Amino acid sequence: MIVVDRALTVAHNKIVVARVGEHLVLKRVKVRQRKIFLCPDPPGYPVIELRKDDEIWGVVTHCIHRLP
Amino acid sequence: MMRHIFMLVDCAHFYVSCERVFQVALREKPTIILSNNDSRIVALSTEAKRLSLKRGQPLFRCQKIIRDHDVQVFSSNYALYAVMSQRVMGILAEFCPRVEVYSIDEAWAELSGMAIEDLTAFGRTVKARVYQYTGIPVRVAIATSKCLTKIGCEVLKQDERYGDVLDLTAFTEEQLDALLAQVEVEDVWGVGRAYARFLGNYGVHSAKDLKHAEERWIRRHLTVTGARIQAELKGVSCFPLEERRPPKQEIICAKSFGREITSEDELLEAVSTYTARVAEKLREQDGLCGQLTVFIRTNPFAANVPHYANEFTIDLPHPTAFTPQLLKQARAALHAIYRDGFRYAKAGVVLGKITPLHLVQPDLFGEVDLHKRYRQAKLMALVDALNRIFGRGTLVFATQGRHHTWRMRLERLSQRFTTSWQELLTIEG
Repeated sequence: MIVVDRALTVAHNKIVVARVGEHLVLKRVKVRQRKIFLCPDPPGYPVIELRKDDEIWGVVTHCIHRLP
Repeated sequence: MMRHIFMLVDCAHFYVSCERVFQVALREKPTIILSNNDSRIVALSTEAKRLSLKRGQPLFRCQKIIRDHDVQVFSSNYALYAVMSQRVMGILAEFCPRVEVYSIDEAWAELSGMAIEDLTAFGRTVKARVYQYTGIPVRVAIATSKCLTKIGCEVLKQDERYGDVLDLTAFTEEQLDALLAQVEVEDVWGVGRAYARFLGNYGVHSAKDLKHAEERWIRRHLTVTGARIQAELKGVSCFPLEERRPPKQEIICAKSFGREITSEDELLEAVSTYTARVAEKLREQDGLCGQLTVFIRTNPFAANVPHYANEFTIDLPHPTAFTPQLLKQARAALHAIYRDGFRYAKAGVVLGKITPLHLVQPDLFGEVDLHKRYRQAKLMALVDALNRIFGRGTLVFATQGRHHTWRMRLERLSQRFTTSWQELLTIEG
């Protein structure tokens, strides 16, 4: 479970929830050459460029794990 | 005289917007929200309006359009809308010290005396902040009277060329008149349909016509309210900001059932549930009530079945807000009017003769046991707190029943994203 704060402004390296088209994704923001890329932390997932029509839904501030 | 400046913040198709914040796939899809019991359309998106769906239409009449255009249909999720409304209003309060929440999706803020240089820029900041924090798009209109801000928002709704923030204080008299000429007199805030028809007969069709009508004639035929509306159209504020709404004189809970009820036991469950609800609302506004009314009725539109409708009012010996006492009276009232052999479709409970707690006369003859009263109030405060924290229905009275199979239909309810741990938003992949 994650906690998302919509009031925070997004910045390089922040983990965010973003709306890409009709889907919500959880990614890390990388800013390169004035473009915003949504990058996965684990390998094997696609990198997505944030288009004009997409938006940052909120910035992730906490992550709650269940202990094994 | 101080010039007033009001800002009206109006959430665009609010119920739909609330659903879209959490269900992003609904974006740009025609979407409608249904009334209680899933019977009629209460809110719709712009895309749905383009399909000529209308507010108030019964659902069964729109089935073809819904199928043909894949219209997204939802029951009213008031738990969600109430929370989203509170969030929006909370943000406004951060910007402006004086706010009047007018409805679930509209609020005025008084900007007079706030020394804002650029009102349009201020409106844009508010709009952007509300959107970022909540995901709800709003329209913002700024003017010197509430009535003009209402017109501003109406214009924004109908004419996309104005963008989403409209500062009418920057308009010249001619520009304002041109704008008012586009607004039908019926759509002016406070002018009802009856007045609009009357005015139409005398050639007053637009808001501009009303503004320039002869003042004495208006006062004579539309009374002082009409004169105030006219002054507001001229930019003179007559309706001040009401930061605190006067407490309600009557509290009502009345709902149609999801299926017809034919037994007194089930009717009692419903009436008890509604009684508990109004009693809770009564305590929320720190009131006591002196009167309780119960009404029941069959479906007046059903053909070939006997119809029955009745109500019963009980004057309470002492004003109270104690649920068990009200339940007892409600049961007696119901029993007095219940008749066998009918198919009941709706019931309601009304609390009347409401007085604020602090105005209640101490009882001269000592009939009211103050100590008992105090314990009752403490018990009710505890019940309300538990239901608030752990969700409605955590602690209920036995007569309310448990299963409520008669409850109204909410078949297309979305998740309670903001009020239930089990129903939080999930993201996949």
